[in-house]
This record gives sequence, structure tokens and C-alpha cells, in this order.
Amino acid sequence: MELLRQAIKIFKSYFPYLMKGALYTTFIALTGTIIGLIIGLITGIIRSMPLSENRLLKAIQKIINWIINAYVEVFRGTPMMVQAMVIYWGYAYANGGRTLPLTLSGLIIVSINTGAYMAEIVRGGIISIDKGQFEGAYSIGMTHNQTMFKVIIPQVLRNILPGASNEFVNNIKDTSVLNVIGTTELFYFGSMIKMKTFRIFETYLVVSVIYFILNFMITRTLRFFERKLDGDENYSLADSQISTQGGEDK
Amino acid sequence: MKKVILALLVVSLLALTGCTKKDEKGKDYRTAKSIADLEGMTISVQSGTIHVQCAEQIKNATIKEYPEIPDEVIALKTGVVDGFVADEPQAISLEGKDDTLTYIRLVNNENGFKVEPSVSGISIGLAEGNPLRDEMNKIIATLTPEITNKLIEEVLKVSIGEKIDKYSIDMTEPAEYKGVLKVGMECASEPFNWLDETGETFDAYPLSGEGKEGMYCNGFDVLISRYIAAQLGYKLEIYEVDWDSLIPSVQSGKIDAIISSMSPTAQREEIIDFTDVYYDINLVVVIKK
Repeated sequence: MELLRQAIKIFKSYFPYLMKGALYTTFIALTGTIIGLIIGLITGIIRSMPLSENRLLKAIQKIINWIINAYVEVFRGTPMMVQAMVIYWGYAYANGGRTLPLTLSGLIIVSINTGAYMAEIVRGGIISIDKGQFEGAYSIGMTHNQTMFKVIIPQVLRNILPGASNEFVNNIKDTSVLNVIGTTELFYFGSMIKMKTFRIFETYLVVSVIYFILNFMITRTLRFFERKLDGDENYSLADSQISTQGGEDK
Repeated sequence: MKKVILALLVVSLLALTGCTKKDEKGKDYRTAKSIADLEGMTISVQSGTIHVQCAEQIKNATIKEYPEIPDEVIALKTGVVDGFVADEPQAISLEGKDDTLTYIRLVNNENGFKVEPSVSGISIGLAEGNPLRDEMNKIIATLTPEITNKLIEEVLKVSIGEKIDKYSIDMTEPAEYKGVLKVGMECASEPFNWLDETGETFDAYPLSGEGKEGMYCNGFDVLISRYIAAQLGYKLEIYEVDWDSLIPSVQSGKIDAIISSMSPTAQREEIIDFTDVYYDINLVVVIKK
């Protein structure tokens, strides 16, 4: 098939550029997702804190909760392309022409966007933890912070892993949106190749195959980590070993 | 149940394959010799340029918009449009590379094709109140049409891949730089400014900007930028910017000048300043042969 031969030819001759683009894409998506995850965890912890008795602290807590809710609603409610334009050009206009370096601005945009989605995923994860865990921790005297970090968050991390890997996969594809501010990621190199070869279908066929391979590798790796976190299916209890030994020891 | 679903799927796929034939309009624009012959064509223009006003002067034309010239070439080759508006040097460059394309000039139609000087000339875009405008105008005054026409010919040869001895304009950089001149261009339309990713064309200039290491640009606008920067005593940095982002870039200060074959229309004059025209272009319509 002529199309396939042309696509393979494009892949071979522009291989270094495609790899460079894939590297930028993976780097921005990976770092953005991790930072977004951290932002999501922090907002989850803050939002689930019980309101304090002190009037002043209570007011401050309510204000912070309101700010976090506003952040989540705004950044979930606008497309990432629009956020990219507003953040990048807003900074340039405000600073008289000095723009953020493109990779850094890509990281900021992806992190802030992912953080908003992760805040909701973490909130869902915390809600899904049995109330008994909280009650048990409080009843043995743990503070809220201790409960969160030692009991709840480890369980939440395991629960949100499918949601987080979903966000990661979305970010790999969404980095193509950063093309509008000029970031040299995979989609940019795809449009450069299209400009040079005048073959639009073959070029984007190759680009979509590369996106798919990237995503496939990542989902399999994350699935492997999930299984490792789950541990073995079967455990042997320590008690039964002692009783067997006791039986032999006449 | 499964067999019913399978049968429905096969039938719908077969029905879709019947939808690929485009209805023959009945008019073949390959034999067009003048603007009157182009009546009723589907013509494409680059969005955000003055080509729209030119296309509107063709009778009963259906106008489509595309972001860049390479998109329009693909649309013409696949038959989505019958032709597109371009500058004459761009059309000559395309003709040299592709035997199936030709062009006709947007002059001498029965209605009298109207071209304002601001539409047919290209100049440099600067932020409002930029003091460099007067100095640049003085330098542009030294670029006579003989020089610029000769440069266009040389650049056309280079764009097809030929090698020439040297460009007939002195672009030697000064020993000391007074500052940096950041120029933005589209890098998508030969022979005015194009992207040369390997630097193989004659005397290509390296691109600045993150992620663009090892990539070069070349073309008429690049030569003009180098000449002006050398005359002003500035170091030249060329940035690749999308056509729609050129004006915001110069307004916000990300680049100092737009040298990307942009015409000083009244609409653009309201928000940015333009220097004098440095080259006059003929507008043409590119069609299949």
C-alpha cells in the first residue's frame, strides 16, 4: 500500500525529530502529573481538616476552603488550551515581553490543570475510606495530621492509582495543546513534517502511532505497580505455624 | 442477536464506502487563463491575511480559510479546493517544485481588480512607539527594487536546492553589538521565510528559541532581517512564531519586529506600527495545471 510505504518513509527520515518531540511530551506530562498529584493531595488534606474551635482559625479555614473550591472549579471548567494562552500571554504582557521559558510554562500549565482534577480524585479517594478508620485513629489519640499521613493517605494512594494513571494518559495527549504557545513537543514536529512533505494523512498516522505506543507503555507500567502494591493473593498466618510446631513438640 | 448486530455493521460499512465520490462540479479550472475563467471556484486563503479581500473579487467564489500555505497546497492537491491566493514569488517556488501546479495573476479581470498599495506591499511590524522605526525606514530607503528583485531571484534558486555563490547584499555583522534585535517570522512560506531543519540550504541562519537548537531558517525575509540588523549594529535572533501569534508577540514585547511578509493594512495599523514598504508583491491564484 502506497500510504503505508510513505508513512514508513516519513518515520525513518524524521526519526530524530519525532523522538525529540516524544521526549518533550513525556517529560512535560510526567512531571506535570506528579506535581498535580502532590497539589491534589495537599488540597485533599486541607479540605478534610475538621474546622477548629477558635473563631479566627475557623474563619481562615473557611476562606482557604473557598479558595481551593474556586481553583478547582475554574481550572476544571476551562479548556487547557485557553488556560495555556491566558497564562503564557498574561505573563508576557505583565512583564513587558519577558516570556516564561516554553518548557517551564508547559509544566506550570499542565501541573495547575492536573492539580484541579486530582483534587477531586483525591476527595473521592478520601470519601471512599471507611469511617471506621478515622474513628479508630481518633480514638487512640492521633491528631488529624497523624491520622492523615499514617493511616488514610497510604490507603488513598492505592485507591486513586487508576484515576491518576488516567490523568497521566490524558496529559500525554493534552500536551499537544501546548503547540499553540510554541512548545516543541510531538504535535509541533508533526506539523513541521507535514509542512515539509505535504503529506498530511501519513504524517499524522505516524504521530498517532507514537502517541499510542507511549500511552501503552505507561499504562502497562502503572498496572504493574498496582499489582506490586496489592501484594500476594494468599498469605499464611503466623498462628497456624506456631500451633503446628506446638503439636510436634510433645 | 449477535448475528443481527454483525449484519447491521457490515451493511453500514458498505453504505459508507459509497459516500467517497465527490460530485463533479462540471467546471475544470485547469484551463483557466484569466480571472473571469475562475468564476464560481472554491478558493482558499490564509486566515488573518489580506488574501480574503482579493478572493472576494472573484465572482461567486466559495472562500475557505486555512492556517498556513502548506495546508492550502495539500487542500489543492487532494481536490478540496480549486485554487488558493498567494504571492507571486511563493507561486513560482511552488511551480518549480511541483509540476502539477501553475498560477495566474490577479489582474485584468472584467471588474478591474483593485489593489491598494497597503495590500500589495510588505513591511516590518513594530510595537507602537518603537524608536527604531525611523532608523529602519532609512535603511529600507536604500533597498531599491533592483536589489530586492535580484534577491528574490537568488532566494528562489536556493529554495529549490541550488547553490549560488553569495547573496548580492552585504550582511556582514558588526564587530561589536549595540544590542539584540529579536525578529519573529512564520517560517512556513517559501521563498519569503521557510524552515530548514537541517541547515542544508545555502547560508541558512540558525533559529533561536527553546527546543529549536540545530534548526535553521532561510528566505527573503531572513536576508532583510540580517541586512537591517547588521546596519543597525544589533545581534539578530530569529524566532519562529505562528502567523496569528505574530502581532501579540510584538505587542507584548516577546519579539521586537515582525519581518514575515506582512502587509500594513489599516486594521493592523491601529494596533502596531509599520515601517515603509520594503517589497511590492503581485498577488496570484495557484491552480492545478
